[in-house]
Amino acid sequence: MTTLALTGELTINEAAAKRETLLQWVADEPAGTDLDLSAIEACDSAGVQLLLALRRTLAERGQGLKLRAAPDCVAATLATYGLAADTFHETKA
Amino acid sequence: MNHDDEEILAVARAGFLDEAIDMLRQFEQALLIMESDPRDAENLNAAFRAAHTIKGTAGLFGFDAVVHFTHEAETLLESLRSGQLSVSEPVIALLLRSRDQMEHLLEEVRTGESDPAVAATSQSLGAELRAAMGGAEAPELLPEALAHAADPAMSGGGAWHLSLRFGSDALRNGLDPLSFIRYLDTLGQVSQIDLCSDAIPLLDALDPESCHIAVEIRFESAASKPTIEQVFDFCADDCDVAVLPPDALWADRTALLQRRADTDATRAKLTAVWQRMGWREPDAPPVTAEPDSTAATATSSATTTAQRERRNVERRAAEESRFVKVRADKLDSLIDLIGELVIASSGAQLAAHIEQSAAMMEAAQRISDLVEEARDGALALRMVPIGDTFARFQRVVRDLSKQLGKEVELVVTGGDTELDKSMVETIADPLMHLVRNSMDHGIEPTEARLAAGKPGVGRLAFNAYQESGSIVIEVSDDGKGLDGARILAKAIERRLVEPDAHLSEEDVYQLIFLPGFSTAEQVTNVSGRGVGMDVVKRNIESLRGQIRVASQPGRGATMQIRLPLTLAMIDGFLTLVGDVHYVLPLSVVSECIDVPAECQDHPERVCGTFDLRGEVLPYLDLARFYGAAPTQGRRRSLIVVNNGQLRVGLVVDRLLGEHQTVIKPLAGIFRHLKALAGSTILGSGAVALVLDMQGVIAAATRHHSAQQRQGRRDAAANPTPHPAGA
Repeated sequence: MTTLALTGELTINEAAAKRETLLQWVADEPAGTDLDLSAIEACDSAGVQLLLALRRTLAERGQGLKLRAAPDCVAATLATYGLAADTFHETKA
Repeated sequence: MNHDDEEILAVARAGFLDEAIDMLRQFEQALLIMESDPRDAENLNAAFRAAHTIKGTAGLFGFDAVVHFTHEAETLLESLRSGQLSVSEPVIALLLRSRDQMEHLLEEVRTGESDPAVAATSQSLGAELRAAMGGAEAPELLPEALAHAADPAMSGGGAWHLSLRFGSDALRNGLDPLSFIRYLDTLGQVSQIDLCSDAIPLLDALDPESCHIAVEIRFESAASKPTIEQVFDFCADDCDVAVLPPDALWADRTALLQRRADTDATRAKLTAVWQRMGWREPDAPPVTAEPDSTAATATSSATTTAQRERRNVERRAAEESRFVKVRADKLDSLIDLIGELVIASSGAQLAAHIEQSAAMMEAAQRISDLVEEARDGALALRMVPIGDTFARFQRVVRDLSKQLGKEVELVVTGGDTELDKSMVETIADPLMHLVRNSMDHGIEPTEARLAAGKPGVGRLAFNAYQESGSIVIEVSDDGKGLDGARILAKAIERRLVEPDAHLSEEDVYQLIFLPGFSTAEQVTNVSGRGVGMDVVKRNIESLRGQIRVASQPGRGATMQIRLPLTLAMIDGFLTLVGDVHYVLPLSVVSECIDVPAECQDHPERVCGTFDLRGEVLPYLDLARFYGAAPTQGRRRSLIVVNNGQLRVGLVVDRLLGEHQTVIKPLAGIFRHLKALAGSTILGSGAVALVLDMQGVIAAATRHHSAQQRQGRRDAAANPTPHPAGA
């Protein structure tokens, strides 16, 4: 399964649990690079941190993180930080 | 915050304001010296230190407006120190105006109100300060100096730069950086933002509830720096915020770089980010930066900057440990207490005297001596040298001479003469009027002076000294002097005196102190509205002082203010008249003699003249003067008093000798009594009246001259005149 579908919130409330899920996925799926965010209901700075940490972890093993079907709440939060869901895998210079 | 904290803060704030005002005074003094001697490095350093201290302490209290503005002035001083800019008249003038602005800002701190006009001045003056620095960008300037100079092109091209580092607890404390960044949109537009993803660790090392958010923002806004910084006030403890204005110096940016990145690699990354945001680096970026200069550009979260400032304050406190700041009211209550002690001690002496116990008398005498020392010591605590007040006028004279287009130098002598603090405060206003008056009406314009054969530069002099129990303060100028004839004409025209009045020269000069008197042909905004001189006189009289004028036409005028040494306690000389005790200041008593024969000849007279070793002096019979029946059949005495100008004799019934006197004010219903300065309580509990020497002497001389006139009329009517009336 190269795509992980996340549910619930990408917020401080669920950050610890989401980190466990992501760590597990990274360990279990060496080819896993895609996140399906369509079911995410909320996203805050803690969520952005998680996504960035995941991106960095994947980059360590030479992969790019793809965010799929980011809902408005995720897109808006990313946009505030000058990030975009569709170009999320492109790390800056 | 509980009540105690608030109280402590309020006290600390008052302390800060006092210190800041002192610093401003030093700042101003240093600037004035620099103006006359541009190479004076010591005073440049003093000015810099003063500004730096104000900035640092204001930073501790979070008075951002003061910090930001003072920083601008400090930056300019710094460039003077480093030689990028040379001391010139416009620069000093600008710094002096900055000093005034700092004073306004401090005043806002004191009152807790903020005036948009003051903030606007901060902005415009700040821009002028920066412009003055920009003026340093002369072609001959060295390239490395260029890096320090303001250059908007080097900055984000008109946009603010915000560098935010949120603390690890921000998210846990419920502060999401998102909300602050989104709030910025209400003040302007976030045109670029960069989330420093390097600050976020790998997933397995991530504490998902800690905050690792670090952002660099390019922010287009017309808001002021404090307004932008206020956005982050709410998270001040959890966020390190640095706000660089559009015209920030490159040096400030380098300093920020040093603060944000500690390795070459991270510095390179941050620089790359900044470059993407439109920063152009100068060719040779200075690597080192004055660490303190970041203090004002960043309101740091209780971190290193604040600690550094605190250390500075502590170091300064150590230097100043020779002085203790005491609340004035504590001092006043101590002095009141010593006043009571003086009275109690004389009561003890009296009791010992009545008991006829030698041991007790000796003990009481010893106590009395010690109390006297304690009294002098306590009063000395309130005494401050008048030099500080004089020094303030350097600036006044400078500004006025520019305003009036006259060249005037201020010469101060006797600045270490000490004066009661309350008097120093009251005397500053009258002095200001006198200075304005002298400079406006007294000292002529340069051409007129040269034409009159005087040096082109006018001379205004302050002098102070002690003389027979009073403090004399003189303000003199070498201007054209007072025109007695014109003053008299004006006074007659304004119906202030009768047209046929015969006035002495001195009396004519005194006319200028009448309400509504002004001879200035041209009303200027410096002086000449006819208000002022009467207020001067009233202020001085409220201190039991007096003012006199001496003038030499074409040579200048001198205003002499004479004030009592202290308002609270004196060494008195106790006398008895009828059954009332009167006290006069011991310092004015020059001798005591038997009542001379010419006074005894006319016991019904209130006053007259007597012969003191060939000198004719007026005398006043206090018993007659206060309407008491003189003691009959007792040998009376005459006290010769000298107030520094005049000598008169006072006839009293008995001399009781030296007495430490605590002057208490007279209740309102006694105010109309002639020539009384107050009352005092004797050891026995009886009340004695304290004579006002100016009043008594004026009464003696007035009565004397009235009687002389009476005598002349008597002589006209009667071929054999009174021998004592002449």
